[in-house]
Amino acid sequence: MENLNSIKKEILQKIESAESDDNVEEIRIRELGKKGRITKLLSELGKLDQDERKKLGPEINDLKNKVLEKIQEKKEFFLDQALNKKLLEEKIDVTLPVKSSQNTNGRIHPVSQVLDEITEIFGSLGYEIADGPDIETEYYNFNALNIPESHPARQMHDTFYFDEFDKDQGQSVLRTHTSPVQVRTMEEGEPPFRFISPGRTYRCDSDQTHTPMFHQIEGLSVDKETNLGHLKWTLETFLSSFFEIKNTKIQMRPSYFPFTEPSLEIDVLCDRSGPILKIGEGSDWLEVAGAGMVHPNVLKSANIDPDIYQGFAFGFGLDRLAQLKYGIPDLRTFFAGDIRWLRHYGFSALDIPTLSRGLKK
Amino acid sequence: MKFTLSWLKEHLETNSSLDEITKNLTEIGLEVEGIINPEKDLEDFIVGKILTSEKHPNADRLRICKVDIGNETKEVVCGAPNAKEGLLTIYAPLGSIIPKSKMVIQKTKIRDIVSYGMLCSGDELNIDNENEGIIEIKKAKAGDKASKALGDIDPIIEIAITPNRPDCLGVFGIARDLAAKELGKLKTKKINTFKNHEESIPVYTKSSKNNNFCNIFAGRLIQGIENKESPDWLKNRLEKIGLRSINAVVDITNFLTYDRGRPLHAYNSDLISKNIGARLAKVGEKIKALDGKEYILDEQTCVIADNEKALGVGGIIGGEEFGSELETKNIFLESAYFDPIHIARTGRKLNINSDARYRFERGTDPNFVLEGLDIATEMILDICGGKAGKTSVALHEDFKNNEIDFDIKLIEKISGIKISSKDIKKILLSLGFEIDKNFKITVPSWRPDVSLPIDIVEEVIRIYGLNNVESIPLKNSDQPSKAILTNSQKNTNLIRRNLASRGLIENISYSFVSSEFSALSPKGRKPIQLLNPISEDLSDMRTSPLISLISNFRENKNRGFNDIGIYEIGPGFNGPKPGQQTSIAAGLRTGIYKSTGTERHWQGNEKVDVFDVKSDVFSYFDLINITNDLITHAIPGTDWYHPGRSANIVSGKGEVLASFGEIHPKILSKLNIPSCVGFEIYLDEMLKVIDNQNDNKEFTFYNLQAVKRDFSFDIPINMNSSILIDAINSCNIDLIDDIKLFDQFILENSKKSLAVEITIQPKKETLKDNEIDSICEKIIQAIEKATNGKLRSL
Repeated sequence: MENLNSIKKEILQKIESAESDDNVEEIRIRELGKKGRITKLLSELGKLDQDERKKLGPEINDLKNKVLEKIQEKKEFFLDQALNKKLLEEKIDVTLPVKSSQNTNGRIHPVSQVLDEITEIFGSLGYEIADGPDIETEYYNFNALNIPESHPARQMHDTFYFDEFDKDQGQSVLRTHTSPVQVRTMEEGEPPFRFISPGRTYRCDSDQTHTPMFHQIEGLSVDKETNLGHLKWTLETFLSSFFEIKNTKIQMRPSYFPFTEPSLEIDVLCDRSGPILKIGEGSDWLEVAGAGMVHPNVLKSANIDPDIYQGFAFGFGLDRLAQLKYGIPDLRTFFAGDIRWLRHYGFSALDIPTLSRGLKK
Repeated sequence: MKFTLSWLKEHLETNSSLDEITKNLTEIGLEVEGIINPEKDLEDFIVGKILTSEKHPNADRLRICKVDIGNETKEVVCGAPNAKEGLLTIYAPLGSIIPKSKMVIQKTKIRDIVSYGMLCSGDELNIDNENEGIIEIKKAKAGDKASKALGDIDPIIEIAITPNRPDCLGVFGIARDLAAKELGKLKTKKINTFKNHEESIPVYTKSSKNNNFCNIFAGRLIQGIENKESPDWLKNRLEKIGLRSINAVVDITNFLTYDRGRPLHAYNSDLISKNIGARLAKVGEKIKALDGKEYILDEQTCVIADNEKALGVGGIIGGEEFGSELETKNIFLESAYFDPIHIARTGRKLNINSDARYRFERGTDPNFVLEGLDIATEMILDICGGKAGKTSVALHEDFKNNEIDFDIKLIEKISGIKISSKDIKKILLSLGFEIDKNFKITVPSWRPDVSLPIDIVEEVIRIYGLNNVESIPLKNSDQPSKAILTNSQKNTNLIRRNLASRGLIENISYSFVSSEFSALSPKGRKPIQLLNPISEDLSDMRTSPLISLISNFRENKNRGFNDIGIYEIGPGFNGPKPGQQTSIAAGLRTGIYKSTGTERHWQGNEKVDVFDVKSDVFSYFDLINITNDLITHAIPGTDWYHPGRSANIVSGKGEVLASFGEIHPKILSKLNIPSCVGFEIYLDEMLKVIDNQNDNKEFTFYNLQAVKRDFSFDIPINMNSSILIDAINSCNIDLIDDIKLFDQFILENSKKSLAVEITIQPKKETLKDNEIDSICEKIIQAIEKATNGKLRSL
């Protein structure tokens, strides 16, 4: 008995201290192989009498099982050890940088982004988007907008001209505002109208706040009942949504544009006391738009009866709205194409402004 | 338009404060652009007496002054040449703000010496234009308040006058508007007329109804004057608003211009032969004007002339020789009404900006021609003495006031606010309108801008106050039942976001470029020039945004950015008429800014090639379901690409939808830029092929497994792979689901091997081997026939 116990102890000890899978295999053959010690013990069982067999049988079998189990365990240990060694050899440096992702490298220009934002707001108010040509005739750029030749307002426009003349339409010019789109769009449709017209506009003028090309966005709403109160509501609604501020306060001041009567300038409440201009708070006013009731002569130009229909129009500087909302200081940088500026102020392709997600970055 | 508060008060009896006045000016549409208020601006400033003035040890031009400021002495470093002992001047203490520059005064070390404050010039204090030295004060003592010591603390107000308000180009008109706003009472003075004087000069105007330039020409002789320097009050008034005092006669005419919006001109009558008036110039007639320049006139220009010669350009500028000098004894004082359209045209043509032109082209008060003449005459007699002659007047037409039948309901209809008829009347009457019992309104002669009922609405509500307009929600009667954007706009947005998602950066550039760049345009796209470009490098309209991108690349490269990917969606111009422009999405990739990776990377990076930009174009085609079988490559592409490495993409109907390629090496060397690749997508053409039928297509399941077969063909090296693909398509086998060209390698014998994978999708039942073989055989035959090539392996 003591013999079996000490054999078991000795074998398990040996397995435990084996140094390799081969070692273990040697032990297995020595103990459990055809001529192995345990095999031998088992085969000698038959020679014993019944009582002894009954007693020793289970004990030898137990010895065998324990040894087998231990061998299995040790073998797995060495397999694991070998695998781990191999895996460690396969190590790579996962701290290396990945290639930058294309949809984060790309950029949307702030003017395009802001236009998408504005489109969302006016779209929800039922405004469509109207386009028109950059090169206009004097007729559409001036006459149809109640700016006859020699009107002092023509000089204020610093117009770019082309060497092209049409006897009915006058000289070709680069449009000085997006207002010609009003007339063109109304000519082609039937009232009521509700649309905005964004686009490139041009004036022969250049300094820190003026570039020879810039963007305007105009809005027009023509119906039987449309008055200054509606205009005020529309602009307040737009500015509140655009700057994401509650109850934007605006102030209307009388002004003059030939194509509206009465004409107004629109100021929005702002705070200039800190380093950053804040819209919608404080006690200062910031001029943001021109507006007014469409002049009856403009409606007539578009073959609309001003005794039945009336409407309001308003215009913003698109670039300026982008400057105000995103704190971009110098207008000239918008069109300079400097890749560093575009990366900094541009937007990701996936920043698609919608009313539900919000109109900020 | 600038004026001082005291000047305004000459015409407006008011107790209102400066703040109230300026706030109301803006509210009634006379926008205040600037206020100089010495009393407020100079609150912190004190009179200082220089006790000692020593040379700065480390600077030749600086002096160290000990300044007595009443209760203490300050040491100030000063650079003024007149900073001498005993001088009384203005001291700016620490913390004060210089009115002109808005600079805050701080303790500063100037060349090692600490300066506690500053001594100021009149210019820095906005008192006068003197900036040579510090201001010198006479009657005051050290420690006095600066505003008190300076005596003259008349605030200056600057307002912007919109072109419709010529009546407010004189201080009197501004006072009238403020009186209507109930800020005071308008002072009207009796104007003296001059009767019993004999001396007169015949006047004329050749203006007529059909050729209108000078409706009224009037004037009178004033003889025996003693012209002199203007009295201080007059000089001061003009200088405060930035005008130079010349002599009494000239100053009086300028004063009337600003006081009443009534330009006048005084000629030296000794140089005039009999008969003075307004006529059109003879072609080529020359005049040397007061600005020292000689102008050559045409027959469209009104001149003031005597029997022999032109004396001035009517309503714009006088002749240099005929003006009033200090020695002038006898003058002819002219007051006329010039036609605004005529003046605007002439002024623009001659490019002369004068105070007279500014007023005449906006419209002066025709009923004030003679009154203005009388006021000025009286002033001249007061200041210079002399004897006034009889007024001579020539006119071709009497002025008629505008009359408007007005329905007061229009006010509420337009503005949304209710104003009582009593208030409406009060406002209009105070602005000088006359109203009869049927609300027929007579417009005053100084308001050429008012001719329609809507103009009356404006007058009433601007005075009543726009702050009374309440917001009214606009009913959204037309809740969008369809997309707000047009197909063209949707398409543009799609391209924009697609290109940005491919790593490209959106640019917006000027529509004009230099002629150097516009000359890069391919044949058939003729650049047009601006008549009056803002500068030489912005002279031509670009024919494509691609030109702007190439130009931008060069600039970015010069800043050290060689690897960029940029795009722009915008117009290209093909002619000088409206509509001769197309919308183009263009892109440019340079250096290693590839579609698969844009920077140096440890996994490797390569230079951009044609396939980077081709994939920019084709990724968009994929998005809008333009499949390969709908388009063909036309080779080579547009002229500005490398002829062997470019293509145009053409629709089945022959519309050129896009182009791409390597930028032509000739362009690269001309502009000194490295190799780059570009593309253009022509959005107007694209619209014609985009399928806008958003019909929902049902998805079809095929339970049978697709069969894939690879083929490899040896074909001539110069042959395009598209021929091989076209050949497969031409077999018209509807079981072919997909064709993928997946390998190419160049062989030695001027051949290349192309490998394609063909997916055959059985639809109803499994294909038998011989059926598949027959399809393959068809394909092989078609390809071999089309390419003259040979099947390499199956």
